[in-house]
Amino acid sequence: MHKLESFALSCGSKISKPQLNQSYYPIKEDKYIVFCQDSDSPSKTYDYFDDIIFHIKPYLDKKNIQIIELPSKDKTPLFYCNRYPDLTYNQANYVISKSMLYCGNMNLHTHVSALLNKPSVTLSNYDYIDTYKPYWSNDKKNIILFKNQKNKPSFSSQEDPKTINQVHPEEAASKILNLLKIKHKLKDIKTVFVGPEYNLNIVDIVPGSYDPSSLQLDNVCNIRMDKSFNVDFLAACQKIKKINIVTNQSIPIDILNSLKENIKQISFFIDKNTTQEDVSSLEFAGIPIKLMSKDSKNIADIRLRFLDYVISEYGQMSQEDLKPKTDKNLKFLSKRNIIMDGQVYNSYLSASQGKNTSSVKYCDDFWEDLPFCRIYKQIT
Amino acid sequence: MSKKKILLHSNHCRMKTGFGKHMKHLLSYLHNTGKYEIVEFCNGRQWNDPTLTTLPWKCFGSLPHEQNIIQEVNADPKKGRLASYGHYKIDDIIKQEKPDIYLGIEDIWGMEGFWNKLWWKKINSIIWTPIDSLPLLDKHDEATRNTSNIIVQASFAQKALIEKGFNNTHLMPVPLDVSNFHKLSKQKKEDLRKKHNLPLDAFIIGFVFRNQLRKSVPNLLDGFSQFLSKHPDSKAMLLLHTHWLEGWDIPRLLGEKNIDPKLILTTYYCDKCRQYEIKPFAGQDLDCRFCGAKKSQQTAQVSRGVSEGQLNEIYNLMDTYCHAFTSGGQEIPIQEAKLCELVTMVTNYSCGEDYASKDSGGLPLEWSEYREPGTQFIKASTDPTSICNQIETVYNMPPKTKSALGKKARKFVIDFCSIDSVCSRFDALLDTMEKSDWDFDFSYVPQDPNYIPPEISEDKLWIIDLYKNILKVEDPEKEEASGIAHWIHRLSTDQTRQSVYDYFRKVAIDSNTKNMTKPFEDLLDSNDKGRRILFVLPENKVDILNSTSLLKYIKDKYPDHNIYYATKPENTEIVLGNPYIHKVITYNEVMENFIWSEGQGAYEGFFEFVLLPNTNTNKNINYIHGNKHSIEYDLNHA
Repeated sequence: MHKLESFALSCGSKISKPQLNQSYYPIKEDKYIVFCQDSDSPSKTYDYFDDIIFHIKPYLDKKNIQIIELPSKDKTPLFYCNRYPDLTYNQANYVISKSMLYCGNMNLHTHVSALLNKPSVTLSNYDYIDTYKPYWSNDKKNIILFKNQKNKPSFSSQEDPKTINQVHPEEAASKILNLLKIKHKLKDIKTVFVGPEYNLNIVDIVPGSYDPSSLQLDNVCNIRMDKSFNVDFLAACQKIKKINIVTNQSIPIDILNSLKENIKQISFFIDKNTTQEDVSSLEFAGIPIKLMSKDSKNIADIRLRFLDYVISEYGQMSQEDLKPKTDKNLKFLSKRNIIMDGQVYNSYLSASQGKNTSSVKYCDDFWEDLPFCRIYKQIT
Repeated sequence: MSKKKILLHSNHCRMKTGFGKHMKHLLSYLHNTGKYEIVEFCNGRQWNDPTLTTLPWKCFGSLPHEQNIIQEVNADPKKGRLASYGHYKIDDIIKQEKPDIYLGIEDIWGMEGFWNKLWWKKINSIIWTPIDSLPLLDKHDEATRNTSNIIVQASFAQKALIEKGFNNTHLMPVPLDVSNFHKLSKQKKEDLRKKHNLPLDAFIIGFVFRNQLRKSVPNLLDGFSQFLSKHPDSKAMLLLHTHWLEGWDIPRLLGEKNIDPKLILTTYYCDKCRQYEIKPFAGQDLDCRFCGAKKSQQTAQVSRGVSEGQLNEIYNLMDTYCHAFTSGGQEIPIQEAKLCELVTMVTNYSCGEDYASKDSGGLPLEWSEYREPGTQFIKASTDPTSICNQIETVYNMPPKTKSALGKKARKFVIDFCSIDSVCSRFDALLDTMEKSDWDFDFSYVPQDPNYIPPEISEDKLWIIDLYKNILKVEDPEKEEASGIAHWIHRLSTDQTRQSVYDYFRKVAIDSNTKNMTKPFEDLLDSNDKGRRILFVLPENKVDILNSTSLLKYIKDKYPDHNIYYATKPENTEIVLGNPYIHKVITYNEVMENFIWSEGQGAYEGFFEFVLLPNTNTNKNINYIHGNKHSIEYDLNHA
């Protein structure tokens, strides 16, 4: 039974069409589609809208179709979207009414676009769509995407891992382009792996001979002293307001004190050669310390030596974690930014090559990138 | 000239509680003066309880009688608690009776917020409240600052208030009927001991108490044990008049402290013949030696206890009285023991300060401080050595001295606590109060939190200016004398002008927020009574949009009716402008109670009927049906 039918039964009423009001809003775009990330709960929030846009953007550009993102609370803005952050409900209805298509989580706008007879692609976390889909929708025009599950729906506001994220971005992208009647080759794309940290927007700064004072960064940045131990560079990071130092050596206390206000945490990689004094010297600065070790072979001994501390095992991924063992057609996407030698790279693989790449290469540099990547296969 | 009208608010005078007895004595005394028009407003009784019409004065219960409010308070324990203290009917009784004087006799938290009510400072308002521990609560400060007269029952509480700069306090204990307690003749005392098989030469130390943890039983036993060690031939016995099945596990304590149980007496009461017997504790459900009934004797308890006359006999079996406690509001047994001319040993803290003093014929027990977890109140742990020493003092006291001290004790209680003494002082206080000239106009005068005071150097004038211009008090020196004195004191001790100004602004904002809300009826049209439909859907946005598809059918079916759509404020934009909705109103959870909406019995409610569409989707998800079961019949409406 649809939820609205239950409403009708509870009220002893029958169902007509809802009343929908619109208010004019000056839109500068001529042809556009609409995205919105609003949702009821985390389990109903899709995390890869940026990837959908990544796949459709080249095709939309060719047709001069732009993307408008409707306001949503507490969400990071999507890439390549124009935003009208102060739209009222009635103005949002107007914007949808003039659009070519709506894409988003299951929310009010999904129902509004169906009512306005607009094509839509909605991401969902469960398949009982007859109970919640827009009541006046057309199944061919208003597509709800979900991953068929063996289990019954969780009906939970929190899921880990999230069922909704099992819908691959290229599937949604493909449906959007189909509804827009734009020819595409997205059927040649297939996601094969999504790293557990893929959705994190991380900035790693590898110390070097460039000047860090020009970096204007708002989010927390990892200063990777373990990649290149450079105390002078660290001392020059005064303008970076949120720092997480990642190191495998102790750092002079005067440097730490000079940056104390900005440092949020020190992540210290320890091994069998690390001494108690190394750890203590970092502790003197009074900054939270997280101890980690990559030495899985000797982790028990290391933990015994540092019994008073919690030591996490830093598990690195390897070729074993990537199911297609060798494939020349694998591409990757990463939301991580690596700042090295004054350049911005999407991965340590790209940094090692001195230029950004999206092709997977089977090497140690890439296995470090793997947790932060979505890998897809593209048949050329 | 008409009589002053006084509204007395507390437990009902027929209730056998401390507050109930307080009301009984006070009401009777004031009634007999013939000077007052008296209205009793009693907690624990419903507004229109018919038994309340059989009193010599007007009487109303403070519990609401309106069905919709009863439903509301029954559903929420917090509201229930407020209702039990009269919060739902206090304004009604003031509006109806228009008293010159309001007297509330209750714990301070029972009256919380009354002092912010519009009428509070327009009439003479008095709070009579027990304070048994330090430090004072913020509520005490707030109440005292906003009330023209505060009456406390113990001098230590008055002292603490005065130290905080409050000069509007009075000391009056709960009035006590002194006629039942007195010293019996030597012969009668001996006869009583014989009746209960007690040795005539035994030295009996008594303690009458409800067996609660705040009574310091372990400390008393330790003190008694020390005394026995020092005076093994004293023939000392301890009479604990209490119920042994609650509070302290006394038999266990006796075992721990190695005290011979035969030396510990208690009172047994027979349900059948209503006689009592004093003897060592031997469990419950004993056979009565007076009437022969089987298993009819139990240790004395609140619900099945001895009469006042019998209790007087029990005091007269004692040679001295020892009251060790952590804190207390008044402790009536101490006063009863004093009336029986016993030398009383009392923990010298809380109300005990009054009864341990030399003037009261008492002997102080020393104590050390501990803090009550949670409240952080100071509590007293009575020193067992001090108990031992004072028992020894009485034991060794010459009979003449003992007798003189006993007489002093009785006189003190009669002077300090008797009905005549307390009520005449209260009557004198009422004489100082003028009849209220307020017109009982309850319309609210908005306060001005944005007022910026001019440069005024004198603190008093500056505070008066704040009262006048922020809180809109017409005559601050008359209505807010205690508040002005308090703030002058605070400015000279721990507050700055900025913090006082901020406080006044906050009070104004809170008051405006609370008082400028409209009554619900004002949200409805006045001319559509009997033609109103309430549609309630608090959230969510999708549901609200979809629900608008149901309104056409309802309106088509009831074209003369107005649909009021209730939802949360953040969702109103979805339904505004809907042609089938007459008015959008803010959702309140009480709307889901159909009795509130539609009425019951004599209560008419506000609407003809209420529609709750989410009944099967919100609290119980009763529509998904495994995504298998669908509706076959047509629900569509053109």
